[in-house]
Amino acid sequence: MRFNPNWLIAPAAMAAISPAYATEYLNAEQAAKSIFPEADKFSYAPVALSKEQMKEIQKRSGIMQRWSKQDVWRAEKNGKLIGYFITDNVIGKHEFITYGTGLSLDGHVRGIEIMTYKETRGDEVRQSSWRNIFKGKTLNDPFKLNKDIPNISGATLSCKNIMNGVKRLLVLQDMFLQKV
Amino acid sequence: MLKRMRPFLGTYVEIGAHCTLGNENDAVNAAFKEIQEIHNIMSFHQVESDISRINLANGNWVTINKKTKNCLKLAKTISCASDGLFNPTIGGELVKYGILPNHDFGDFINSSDAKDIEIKGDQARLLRPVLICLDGIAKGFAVDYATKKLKEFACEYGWINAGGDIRVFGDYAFPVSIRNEAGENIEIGGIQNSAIATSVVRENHTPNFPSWIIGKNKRQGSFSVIAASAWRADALTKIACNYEKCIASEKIAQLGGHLIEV
Repeated sequence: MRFNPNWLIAPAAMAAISPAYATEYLNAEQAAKSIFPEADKFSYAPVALSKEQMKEIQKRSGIMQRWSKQDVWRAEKNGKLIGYFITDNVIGKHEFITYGTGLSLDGHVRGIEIMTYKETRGDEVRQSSWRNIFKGKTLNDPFKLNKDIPNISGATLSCKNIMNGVKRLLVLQDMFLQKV
Repeated sequence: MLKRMRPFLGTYVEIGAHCTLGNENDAVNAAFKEIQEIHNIMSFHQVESDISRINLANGNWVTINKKTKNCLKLAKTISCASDGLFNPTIGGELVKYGILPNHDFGDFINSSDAKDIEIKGDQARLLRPVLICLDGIAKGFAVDYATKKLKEFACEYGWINAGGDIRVFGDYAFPVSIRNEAGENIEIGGIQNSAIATSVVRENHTPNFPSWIIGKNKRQGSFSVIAASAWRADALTKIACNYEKCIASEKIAQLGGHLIEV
């Protein structure tokens, strides 16, 4: 098969230092509605954790619970609880991700939506100021991002971090949220 | 224009679409559903996937999803066309490296030939105790199905980017950078109505760069292929690194791709 790709060549520029890029996909409300379209109400019910409880989550999930407060919304339909929507942050080697996950009452993952994705330089990751971005983040305080991610081919990022995050949230649900 | 990102296929999948009908949300959700289905049926990691059921069936016939069958057929075809340089039976070797999980497979050999995967009707079986791994093609395959879905919803233009396996359609030039071996991003311009995939071949397998290509004579570097479909671009990157540099471009062109080494 011969194929003539229909692609345009722009002047190539090699960046010695990659800038930081970010994309906002959804806010918490939009992500919650995407995962629980049938819900008619989301009530904010954050979970506050003591140091001991944070340690217990880490012990049971194998993943560090970095925040003492986890943003949780109760998804309700006709006044009946149908699941939980939880927002969380993942700090990877080069990426910062805020995501929302929906958990059913029996402890299954309903869906995961990436809310914001930020890829940055390796050296920025080591600066604690980046990590501080995530402290005390609430629905009313979305962190502002300016640039879109370039579409990089060859930069396959493993989503293992996010899967670990969800695993941790399932433990948190099991320990602190009302079940079926 | 609507953009969404969800974690699938072991990476982050971004879908963008523009539909003047205003049904972008439904289109993007349907496209993600396709990707989720392919993730579920072709994952090596999940024990219930079609691929795992074939790998665990001791050579017996296993009924599989039509999409799995189509992907296996494409894998066999590109394997034959590349004289085995693309090999979908390398699961065993990747398990021995610890890159893929061992689902209590019992005895298996590192790899053999795609001919050892037999397909009949809606069933497949293995003629030798190898482990099928479609990781070299399934992401691209999923991107193609998701693209088809966006077109079914009459989106004017859109793209799917599954961790660097990208397909773009419609009147839209999608800017793409290629990451080289050193980790730098090199702008190559925009792609339009085509697909691109990149494989970076490094000397060693590390947790930061978990992907790994099997091949006796593979070269190190960053291998990108532009092709009409994402499955082909995806598969051809695995083949490209196994050709000598002097013939790689020509061989990839014969197989329907345009090779870029950065």
